Amino acid sequence: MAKIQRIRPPEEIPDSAMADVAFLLLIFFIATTTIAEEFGLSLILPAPSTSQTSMQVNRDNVMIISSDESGSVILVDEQAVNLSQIRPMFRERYAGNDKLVVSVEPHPNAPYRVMVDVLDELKMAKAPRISLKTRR
Amino acid sequence: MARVKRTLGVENKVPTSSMADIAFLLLIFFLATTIFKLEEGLKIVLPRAEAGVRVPRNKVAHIWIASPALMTIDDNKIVMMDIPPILQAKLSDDPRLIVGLNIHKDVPWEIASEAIEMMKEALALNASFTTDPESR
Repeated sequence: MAKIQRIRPPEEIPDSAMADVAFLLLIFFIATTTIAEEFGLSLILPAPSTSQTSMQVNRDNVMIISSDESGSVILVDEQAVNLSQIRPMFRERYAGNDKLVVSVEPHPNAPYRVMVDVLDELKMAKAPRISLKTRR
Repeated sequence: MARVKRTLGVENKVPTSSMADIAFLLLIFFLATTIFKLEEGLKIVLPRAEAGVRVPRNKVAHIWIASPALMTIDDNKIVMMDIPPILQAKLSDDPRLIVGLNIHKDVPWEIASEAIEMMKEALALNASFTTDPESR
């Protein structure tokens, strides 16, 4: 009697799809990787003031930007303005006086964003001398 | 005389056998370099600004102020008076340290200005007011 020979499947792990899986994972990681970035308005602060380091500035060379307690009213030299007016106002005054110093003086209770909004406008206007009035 | 036909043994094919290896190599690179960083931070809404510039994160000490009573430096809860000694220690490690101020947009300016005064006291004068980029 003839022997029946069983055909056994080859004992191999199929690896033909491995490259596809690798590509799939690669695309996933490329797509989902986010590089954490941080943006900020940079400012070099003055060293703590002493009688030697502090200097007097002519009042005509100072542009004071202040705000009310709620931060809804912004004043440039005591004149109420919109935030969008700060940039052209600074440019106009700076064109006539290149020694101009801008002093940002928000009300102590005004929200922090008021200072950032004003500083943002001044940075966009490329103001070279900005002073922040702090508590002391 | 019989003509000798020259056959070139080179086929016009782009070798693709190493593609899977390259894919694996890139995959391993992304797997190794991807960091799922969970920031345990305070709940802060940053003020928006257009003029914000990219800040190198590795040179920044982060001060977070969520409210007058809740602030941290690099994930350690602190009070205002702790700022100068911590910054002085960080400055001695890296004199080019930038202090990133992550302050909630509605925190009173008085608190923010006090933090700035503390930075001055530590002679950490390179400040960056972290903002949310508006038109990027």
